[in-house]
Amino acid sequence: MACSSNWVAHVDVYVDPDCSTSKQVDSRNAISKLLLDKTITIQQLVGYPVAVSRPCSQDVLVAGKYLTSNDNAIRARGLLLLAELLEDLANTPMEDTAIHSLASFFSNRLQDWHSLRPALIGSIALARRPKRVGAVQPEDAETLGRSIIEQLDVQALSQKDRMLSLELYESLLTLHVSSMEPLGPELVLGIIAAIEEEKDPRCILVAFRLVEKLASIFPEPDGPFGENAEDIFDIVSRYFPISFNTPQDPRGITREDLSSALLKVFTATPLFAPFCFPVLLEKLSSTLKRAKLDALNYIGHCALSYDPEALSEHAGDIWTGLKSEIFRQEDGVSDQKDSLILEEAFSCFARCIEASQKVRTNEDDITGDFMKLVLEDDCVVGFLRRVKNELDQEIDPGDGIKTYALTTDAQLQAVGRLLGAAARASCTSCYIVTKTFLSSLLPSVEVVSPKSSDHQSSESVAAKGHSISLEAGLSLTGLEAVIFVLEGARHLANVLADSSNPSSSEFALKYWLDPVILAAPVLIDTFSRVVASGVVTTVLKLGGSYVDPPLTSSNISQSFDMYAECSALASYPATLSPLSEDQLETVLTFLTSTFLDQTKGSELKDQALGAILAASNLEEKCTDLHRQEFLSSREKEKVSVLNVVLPKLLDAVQEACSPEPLDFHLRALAALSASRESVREKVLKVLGQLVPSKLGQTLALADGSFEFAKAVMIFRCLSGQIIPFCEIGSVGQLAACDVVMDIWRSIGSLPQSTVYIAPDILLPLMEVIRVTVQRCPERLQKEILTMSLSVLQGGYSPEQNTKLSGVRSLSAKHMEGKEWLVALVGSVIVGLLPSVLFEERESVLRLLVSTSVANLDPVITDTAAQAAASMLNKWNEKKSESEEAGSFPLKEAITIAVDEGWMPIIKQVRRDGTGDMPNSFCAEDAEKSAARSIYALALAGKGLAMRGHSRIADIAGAMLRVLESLGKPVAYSGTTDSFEMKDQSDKLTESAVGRAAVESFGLIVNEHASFLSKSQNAVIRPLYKQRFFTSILSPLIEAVRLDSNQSSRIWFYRSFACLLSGTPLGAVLTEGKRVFPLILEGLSTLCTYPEDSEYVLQLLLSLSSFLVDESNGRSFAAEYVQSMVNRLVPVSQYKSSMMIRESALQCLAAIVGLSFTRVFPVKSQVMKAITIALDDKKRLVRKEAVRCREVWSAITST
Amino acid sequence: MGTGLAPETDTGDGRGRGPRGRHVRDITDPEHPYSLEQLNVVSEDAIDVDDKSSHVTVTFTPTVQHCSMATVIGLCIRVKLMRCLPPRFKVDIRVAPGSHASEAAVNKQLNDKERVAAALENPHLVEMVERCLQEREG
Repeated sequence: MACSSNWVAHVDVYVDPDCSTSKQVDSRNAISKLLLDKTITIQQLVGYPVAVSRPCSQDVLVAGKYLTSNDNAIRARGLLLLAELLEDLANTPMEDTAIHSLASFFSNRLQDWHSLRPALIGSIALARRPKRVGAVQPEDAETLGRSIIEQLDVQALSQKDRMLSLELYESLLTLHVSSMEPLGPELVLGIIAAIEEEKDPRCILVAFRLVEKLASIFPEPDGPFGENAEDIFDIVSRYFPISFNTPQDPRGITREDLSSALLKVFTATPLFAPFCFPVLLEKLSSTLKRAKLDALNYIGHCALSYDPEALSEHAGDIWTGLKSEIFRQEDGVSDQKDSLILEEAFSCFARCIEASQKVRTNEDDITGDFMKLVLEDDCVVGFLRRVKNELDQEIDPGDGIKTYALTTDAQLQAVGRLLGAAARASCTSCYIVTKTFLSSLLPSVEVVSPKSSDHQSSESVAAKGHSISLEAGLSLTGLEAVIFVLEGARHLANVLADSSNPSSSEFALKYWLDPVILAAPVLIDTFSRVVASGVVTTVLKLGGSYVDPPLTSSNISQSFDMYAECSALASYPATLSPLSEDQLETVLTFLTSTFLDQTKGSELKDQALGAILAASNLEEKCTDLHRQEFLSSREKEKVSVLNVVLPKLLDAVQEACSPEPLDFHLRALAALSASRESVREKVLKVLGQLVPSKLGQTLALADGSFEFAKAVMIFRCLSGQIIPFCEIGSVGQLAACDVVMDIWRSIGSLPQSTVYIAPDILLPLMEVIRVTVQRCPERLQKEILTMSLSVLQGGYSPEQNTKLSGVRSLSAKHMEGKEWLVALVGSVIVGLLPSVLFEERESVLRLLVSTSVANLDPVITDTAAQAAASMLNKWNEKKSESEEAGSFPLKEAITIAVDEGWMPIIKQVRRDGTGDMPNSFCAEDAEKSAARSIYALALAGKGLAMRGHSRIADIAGAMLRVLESLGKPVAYSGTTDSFEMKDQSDKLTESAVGRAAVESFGLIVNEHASFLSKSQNAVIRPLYKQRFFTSILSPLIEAVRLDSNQSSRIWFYRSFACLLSGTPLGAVLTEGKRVFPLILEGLSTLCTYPEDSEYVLQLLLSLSSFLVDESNGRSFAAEYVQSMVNRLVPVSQYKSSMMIRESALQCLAAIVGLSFTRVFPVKSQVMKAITIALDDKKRLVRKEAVRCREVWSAITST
Repeated sequence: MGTGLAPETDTGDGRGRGPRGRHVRDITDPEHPYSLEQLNVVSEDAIDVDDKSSHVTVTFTPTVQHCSMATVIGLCIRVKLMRCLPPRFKVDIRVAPGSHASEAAVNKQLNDKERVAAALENPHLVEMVERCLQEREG
């Protein structure tokens, strides 16, 4: 056995205390591998039989020898080896005899404190073995348990050992419950001793779990746990409330973990009830807010999990405690903690009610102990009496309310909230509350509100002063309470409707909403009157929420109604809804008129809109749920937001005559249609008809008239908030397409004389077309395109609605004065799918190219350029079906656009610049058109680069030549002196050509949402940016190298910065070797020009990405430490941008991480530079400087 | 991390003045794992910055009358400020009047350039100061 000697050697190494740790780990892993491979067995290893009490027999093998060694350290090592191997073998089958002997061996070892930890580890490994690989036998588990109880004084051990002991307990209690049960009292006492006074959070978590397990193993009150329940609770409750302030525990334990674990312990068994509530109530009365919050939370959960009997004993005390919490805040809620406490108190209250109603003693009594207490409470009764009676008479201080002085608004409000919380607790309590209180509260509200409105109208507020406000206040309190109750009911209804199986009893299902239904007419009446009268501002404020609850609860109960029908309860009364259809209509109409009313404040309008939105969402939810059954039959005739509100709103939009309400209406429409397809469809249909019908007049109107502004607003709303949300292929989208078709139709029918259209309306109009077209399916795109082209050709006539047979030429001359039409067609073309073909593409392309350089508004030229570029990008070599002539290849298209269209203009300017300068006016025009050509050419380049066409190289070359020429014009002219030269270069910086040329590379590599993007159906080859970057880099570097003039190089650096801004980082880093020097040169050149800050920042960002890239960026950077520092030091004092100074300092700080030998020599230079930055006038820069200085001063020569 | 600067030169950025004492509040006490601010050894009120005449005065309160670490704390504050402030500032560090048994001696030691320089040549002392100045995690 070659391997045998091998493993013996490993064991020797592991046990030898002189060997290094890594060696020991290696040898342990080796043995573990041998065991897993079954080359050796555990019996072989320990020398079977395991020496427990016997002296070593002669055939005991090596490891066995160590296990019984007299040297404590060696014995511990041996045992640790065995224990760790057992852990490794956790999922490997082992013989029962082996497990038995190991188990008894380890339980024996637990008394040897020198080797306690390995013994614990081994025992845990054994106890955790699953059955399928051979678990510990029950009797062995019992021995193990007994041994740990008897041998270990857990609290005397170190933290690690305590943790292990508790874990051993836990594994035994989890996996060997049956063998632990017989240990009964001993076990419970053992664990009590083990966890008492535990301080370590990790151990505490385990201890909590242990108590929880014990409680579930011994549930009976006279069992071993029950007898010791008080002691155990005493131990556990000391931790309450958890105060754990370590902000970031290294083990990742948080206060919340501990708190929820403790909560589980508290709720584990009702045996704790007699001790638990007094403790919690005592904590509740403490002044610590944290303790209050926790106590409220615990009381609620405990109440729910204990028996109702246990709760009823303490109900009185709990109610008193809660009440004092709820009414404590005399001056209202002062800070956030307080309001949290109040929230928690109400939810605790609701839980208690729910808990007390779980078991009902008899059928009639459904109230539950807790609820009864509330109903009979002084302050509730007093509140009612006060609201009811004392409106008509002076306040009698001796009546009823004495016990709880309900003096402040906050306290009166608290009663209302209390009732609301009760209503939301359960169906039963909701029934009781609504029944008891709605009937008594409502009349009082009714009596008062008209009365106070009378006061208002008679303008005698000031005269009657105090008493009115008091009465109004009281009526408000009553109203407020009603609202709280109704909101509670609505919340409950929401919960019930959301849960799929109704857990409530039949009683609750049938009747719980009855009182609300009964009260509904009065409610609606009252609310509308209150809102209409507009008594006080507070009423206005609350108005929306007043109206909201009955409405939505009605909808909910409709859904509830439907839901019930679905579950085939045939006998269900169909009139469950608290509102009849008529009533619902009244409410909706009322709401609509509220927010269409100009005189109402915006706050109230928003509230009303909120209510309508809530109703609308609910309707949508119902129709979603029951689409099959209900959609067809019910949707149409039913009273709904769709049928009541929407038409009114749309009418209002049509009739709107000033911008402010129109804005609000459009916002409302957008909000309504955001979630509902059916609303969108309707909105689009109406607005779509509204706009094109008047388009002719509108376009003819000058800007500034309201009709014009209205059209712009409607277009913006359509393109921004409605059309983009239409799902593809939905009815809404079809409606959107119809709108666009209508627009084209009306454009087609415009009189020929319409030559001008203001860019203000052109842009939104194009946006509508663009957004619609880009998402359309092919068929519809084709339809729209055909229509637009026929309009463009002037061949569309509204009467025939078909194309004229003779296709007129689309020459630029023909189109003069109608370039806006070209732009509109362009906005269609931008979003087309590549598969959409059309026959006139050659002439359209020519037209777009010539428009793109015309001297027109940039809105038009840019769109034309974008359209031309997307045509090139999506050019399809296939013949379109109707095309008779041969196919029109892409190559020719590029020739038309690039070689014949844009290039000559650019060349012209170059020649102008270098040769004879024409007079200034012409030059300006030429320059503008050159700038447009450069923009268009860059876009075309982008389109070609995206589809991977080779001509991009030519375009890029042309760009480079433009850049090259930018620096030179005056140098060539020869006659001018240096004065003019400076003048010239300054002018060019500002010039349109310069800017366009610099940005062209950036244009190619950056993403743009509105053209040549995925959403615009562009053809995109993967990695095109990377490919473009790599291909342009060499020519760019070459051009920079050849250009000896510093002032002309600057153009290359600018455009290089633009190029970097869009290129993916990976590509830049791969080319690091060539890019890095260029970045540094660019920095040193550009940092002297204050107007180049954006480019400098871009270069700095790229530089910093090199500095943080571990894989290869840093290695490039390391070679340039000295030159980097030379550049960054001046940049860190760059005057015109704080961001740049800050980033430069960040880069400097990052340099420290590079190779020490290179960094150290520049230390003094950097420190000097940072000293200046320390006195910077911006705080962020100083902060960065301090950080930078810290890291630099940390590198020392020693 | 509480850097960001004490001297009130923030006039241009409109973001208001940075709180005084950002630099010193996070220094750890030599004997406890708490920061000087947590121990109330330094507070914002006890730091006086005069930007015009480039002068900073820090007054700190040792935890007990006979705190043997008072000089070390003072040294930490001085080193930290030396690193964070522009060199134009003159820094005075004092023990709050009446808060330390040997107040005068400590003050003298802390504001003597030679003695501070000598202290910083003692490797043990420097190590201790560095430990206190280490930025705390988070």
